[in-house]
Amino acid sequence: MEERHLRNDLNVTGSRKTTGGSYHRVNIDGMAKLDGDLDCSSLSVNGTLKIYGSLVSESTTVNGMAKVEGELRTQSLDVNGTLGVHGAAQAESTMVNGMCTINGPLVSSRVRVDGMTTINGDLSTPEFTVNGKCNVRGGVNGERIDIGGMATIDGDVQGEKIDVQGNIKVGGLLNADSVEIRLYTSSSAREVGGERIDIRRKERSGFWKALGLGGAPSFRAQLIEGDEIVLEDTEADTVRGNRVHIGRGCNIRFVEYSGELSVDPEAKVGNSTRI
Amino acid sequence: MTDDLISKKELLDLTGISYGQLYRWKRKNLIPEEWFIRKSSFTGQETFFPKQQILQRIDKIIHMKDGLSLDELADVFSPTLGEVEMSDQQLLDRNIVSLASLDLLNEAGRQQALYGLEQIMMLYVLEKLLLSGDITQQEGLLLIDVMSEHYYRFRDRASELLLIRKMGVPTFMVVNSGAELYFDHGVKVVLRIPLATFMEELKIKLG
Repeated sequence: MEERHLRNDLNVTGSRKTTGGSYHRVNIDGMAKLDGDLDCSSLSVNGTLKIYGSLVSESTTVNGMAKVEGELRTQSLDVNGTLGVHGAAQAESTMVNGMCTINGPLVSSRVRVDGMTTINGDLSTPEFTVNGKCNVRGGVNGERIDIGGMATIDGDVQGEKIDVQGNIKVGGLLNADSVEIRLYTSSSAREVGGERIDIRRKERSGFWKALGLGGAPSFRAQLIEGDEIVLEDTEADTVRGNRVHIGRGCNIRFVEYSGELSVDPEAKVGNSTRI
Repeated sequence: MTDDLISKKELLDLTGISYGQLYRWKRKNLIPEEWFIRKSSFTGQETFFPKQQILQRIDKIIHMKDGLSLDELADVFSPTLGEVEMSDQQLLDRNIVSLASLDLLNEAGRQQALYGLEQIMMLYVLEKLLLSGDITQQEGLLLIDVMSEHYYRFRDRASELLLIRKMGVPTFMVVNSGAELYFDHGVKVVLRIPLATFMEELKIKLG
């Protein structure tokens, strides 16, 4: 393959329809339609771009609107405007401040969502940070997961350390060495499993409280299993662990523990057995 | 297959591992998803495991985890085949197969200059079963046949090898792990072994 910097640049300021191809720098300030795959070293979209093919690029910045009908492969992906990808996506680093929709799996070394992102597939990334809103229709496979905003994940979530300071809804199993959730609103997971599970209430400041957004702070799960478990405001069917603390506002039907159990007077526990 | 299950609670009690370890191993794919069998019991949802397989696996993990990282372990246990190519001389040198098995392969007309992992796996299974006296040389030829033709279909799925006999006529099968099979009265199931165990042993030998 020829060196990328020996190629031509493509600049579109007006409106243009062309075939795809290989370029060095691609700047779209107007409106462009590409009827094939695009391979370039940098793509910057300030206007509107539609690619009827896949996109391979070292750096991809979308400040306007871009639609890729095929797959996307890039080193750095920056979305400040709107990006839609019809196929699978692969990016070394992914930053979304605008809106991004990917209709396939996303593989990335770092994903940060400050805007809104929808992934209609699995997400696999060691570092996953959400300060905005993120929907994942598949599962999330990560290492460090930080949710400050809102994350809805239909499948399983797994990582080494999961910190939630916002809202999380997991359709499957939330599995990590350390799960730390501070409750601002109502979060849930079908199951939670790990070594250390710490779910506690966070006193909301006046503004959020007055707004009453997202419901009262609570966590719901069918099953919570871990070695060290601390719970508050949690409603669960079964909790199993070694050292278990059931704090205020909890409603647990059944607790099984092997080490010690302490129950706050403001908590409800249906049944508990030591095994 | 489905007869002997162990609940998660009993498993932790028996092996002395913690929830944290179990979940970590699940995350790292050291314990396959299909071994987690959910059932509802009077105490709510409970997870069960195939007893023999899980106990063996946990034993292996505990014994091997000092030497290998969890990711390397996951490689050993994964049913996926890696990239290996070896000549028959290399296979002999590394004690993976004996001359007798290679002769049988020649007889079946399937000898090659270089063998990929799938074929090495087949040879290894052949070698082990011949050595243990579970199968005869004639049956070995059948085994070579079925594994050469069909084993690739299970490239990244767990599978089992089945040997049945009826009226002294042997038949080999490769089936999905945990598949339910029923036979008529005259059939005797001589062997039913998960191929994954061979793969694990082989990967350790190759690694």
